[in-house]
Amino acid sequence: MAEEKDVIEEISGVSLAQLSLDKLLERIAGRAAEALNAQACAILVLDEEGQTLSFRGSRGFNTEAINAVRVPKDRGISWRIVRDRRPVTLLRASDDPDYYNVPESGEDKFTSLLGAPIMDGAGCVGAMYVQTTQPREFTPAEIESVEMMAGKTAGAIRAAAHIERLGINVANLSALNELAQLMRDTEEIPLILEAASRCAANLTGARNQIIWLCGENGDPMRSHSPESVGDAEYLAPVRLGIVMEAIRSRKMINVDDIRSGAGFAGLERVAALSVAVQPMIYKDKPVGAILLSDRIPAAGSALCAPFTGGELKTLAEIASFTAQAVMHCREHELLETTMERSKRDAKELAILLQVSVAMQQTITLDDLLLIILSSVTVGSGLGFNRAALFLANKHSGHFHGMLGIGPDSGEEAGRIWSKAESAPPSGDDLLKWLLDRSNYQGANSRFNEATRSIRMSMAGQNALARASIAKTCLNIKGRRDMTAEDSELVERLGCDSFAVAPLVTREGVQGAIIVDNKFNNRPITDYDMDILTRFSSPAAWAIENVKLVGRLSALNKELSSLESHLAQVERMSALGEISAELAHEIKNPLVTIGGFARRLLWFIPSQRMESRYASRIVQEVERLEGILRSTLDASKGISGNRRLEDVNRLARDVFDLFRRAFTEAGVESRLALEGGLPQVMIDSGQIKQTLINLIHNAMDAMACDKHPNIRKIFEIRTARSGADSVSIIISDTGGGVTERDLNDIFNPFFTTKQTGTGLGLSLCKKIVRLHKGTMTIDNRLGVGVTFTITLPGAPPA
Amino acid sequence: MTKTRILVVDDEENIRLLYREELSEAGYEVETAKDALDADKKVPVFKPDLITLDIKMPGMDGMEYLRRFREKDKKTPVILCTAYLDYKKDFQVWGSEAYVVKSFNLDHLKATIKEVLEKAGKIPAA
Repeated sequence: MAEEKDVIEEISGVSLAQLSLDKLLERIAGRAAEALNAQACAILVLDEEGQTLSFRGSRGFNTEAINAVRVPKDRGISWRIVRDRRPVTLLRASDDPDYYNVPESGEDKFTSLLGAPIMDGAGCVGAMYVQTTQPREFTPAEIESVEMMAGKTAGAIRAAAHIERLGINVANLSALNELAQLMRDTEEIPLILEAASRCAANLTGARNQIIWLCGENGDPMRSHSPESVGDAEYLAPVRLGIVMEAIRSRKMINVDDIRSGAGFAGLERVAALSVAVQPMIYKDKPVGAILLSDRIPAAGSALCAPFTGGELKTLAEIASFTAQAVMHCREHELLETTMERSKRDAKELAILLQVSVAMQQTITLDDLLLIILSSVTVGSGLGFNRAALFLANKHSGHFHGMLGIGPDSGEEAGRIWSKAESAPPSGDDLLKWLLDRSNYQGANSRFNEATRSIRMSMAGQNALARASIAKTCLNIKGRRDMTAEDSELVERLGCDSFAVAPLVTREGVQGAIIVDNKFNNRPITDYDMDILTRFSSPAAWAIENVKLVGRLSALNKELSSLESHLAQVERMSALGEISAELAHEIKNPLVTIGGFARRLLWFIPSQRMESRYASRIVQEVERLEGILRSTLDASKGISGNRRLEDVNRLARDVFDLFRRAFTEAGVESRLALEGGLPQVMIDSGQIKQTLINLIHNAMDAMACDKHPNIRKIFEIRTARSGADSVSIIISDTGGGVTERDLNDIFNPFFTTKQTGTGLGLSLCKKIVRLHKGTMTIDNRLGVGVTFTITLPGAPPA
Repeated sequence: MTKTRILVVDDEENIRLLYREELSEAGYEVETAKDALDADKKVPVFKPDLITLDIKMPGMDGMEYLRRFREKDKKTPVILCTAYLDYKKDFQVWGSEAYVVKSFNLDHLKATIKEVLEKAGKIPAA
């Protein structure tokens, strides 16, 4: 008895010594066993939450079992002791129905048991019991003894456990802090999960840590786990069972011993005896779940044990951090994607704006079509591989291929894209860049040729027609979206998936654009279609604008040409009017002069000089009347009086008129008439007048002494021309006409002569033309001029 | 024998003089008028058998005078005698019997006058 008291004293003393809990309990267990003459003593400590009893101190049991064995709640005799708060004696512990056998502890060799709760006024902190190898009936004194020992131990245990707990808590806290820090710094979810599971392993000693994350629909999908456990498929029953339940209930599920039939299937797949699942919830939304199984005993034995309340709490903390970190990560990713999207949108809008402005500025249709297509194919903006533009022709009722832009082969595509990697320039340079085809098109574009060879009915079943009738863009992804009519389109363009954007304005269908991604095979997304739709409207309007401008410009040109024509006609008609006016003004005096001169001739005897004077007057008046007549005729285009004439006679008549003038001017004159010429149907007056004009010109040319050394020679020649035409050739040696004057001499208003009507040559030409003849000029500068008048011979009568 | 009377209407004095000389010499009795107004005065007094009419005159032109004349007198033959070539085509429409383009050589005019008078029965056909 005194021995026992000593032990108690000693325990008290020991209690006050600052030993670690383990050491303390080992001492106590040793002492107690000795005091009762038992072979073994075990001290089990209850965790703070009252969840498990841990085997902490021992004498006579396997040392690996210490700290490794945990008795799940309400299992075993120890729990009965704690629950009932009464000592227990058993002759054969193994006979007891509550007996919880942990062979690893080495308890099988012990038979009888005496145990008591370790408690004090504050509560129960555990249980201790002694065991003997031989069966033994314990005395009440022994029971009391143990009780007292247990009671004394309570305080020590409590204090030490407290300190220990503090230590653990501090360690936990700093580990959790570190984890939190790590998670804040990490932006990648796999790294977050890795950190969480490592931390859980460290702090709870769990053997396996598996993390599930919920997908967008809330189903836990992805998992993070060590390879030893198995792949996601293998763990499916676990996921479908306990994990789903934990997430649904938003509560931790702790299975101390799966053998006890907790009702969750598949847990054996995690090769565990105890499993704890903590759902991860963030802002009331399920993020996933963390599963821990079987803590790893410190000594690395095969013993497994349930988690203490503290460990479960730690798990909850880790889960909370992880949930937060994962959601932040996802939000961050979303934000980044959104920002990327926004940046891309902004850039595209900028390009769209620039292109729209460019399209407004462009005047020619060709440039505009090029700009439209290049915007659609350019690098990172809209970026289709190839684009073809068709214009609608309402008259023909067809779409006509106008322009195709794009490389002809994958290799070429690669070359062009690597060159055009940099974004297009902005501002004024953009227009130039867009118009520079080499940026996105190979040198010889077969694609362009193929496009231009296409003609599709606007009212048919082909993709272009369908898109423009429906007034929406179409995304043709494959054969299924095509009709029979499209096969020609597909064959010529060599693409089997493409998008069509109709170009429609209030005025109607202007055309359509086809785009494809033949070389990088990037599928055309809804986003692409969106951009295409937004782009096609300004493009259509720009085309219509240009066409209107073009029409306006054509009208303008027509108008100004009409104006100049009108002006010319007016001039000519003014000429005609003047002529008529002039003719009238002149005619009357002529009639007077000539008439009276004639009367003079009548009255004066012919040998008298006065008679000869009168004769001259009559001659000149006749000539003047002839001029007037042919002038009026010519400017009105009246055919005059045509009769069959002999050109030789005509030529001779005219020649005779000038005979005297030639002599007086010192001009050597020649007349060479070919015989046997066919007759011509002419108005002799008009033709005579023409010849007279030409002779006058020749005379004037030779009169001015530009080339004094040249002999003045004038010649009229007639000759047959071809089978049945006749030519009258008039040539002089007047030095020819300068280049400048040559242009002007046929101008009705031009004259280099002081005398003369100035109507000369242009009317001569007209007269000849009206006779269905030709008049040509052979001008040799420095020598002279030769006019050749060719008239068609009349058919023989 | 009474001479056939011809009224010459022309705004040019020299033309009137020339025509008077020539036509008188050809055996006609000639009266002249210088414009439509003058002609209107002279016609009822002189009672011409034929009128030669210039078109371009100051005041009322020849065509207008002809139209008015024809309203009252459909029988007296009128020869349009003018510098213009234009109207050659349409003379019959205007109610004249002939259209002569003025020339210093009056032979054509004289021949036309004779022709017209014969047709009108004013002189016996030759």
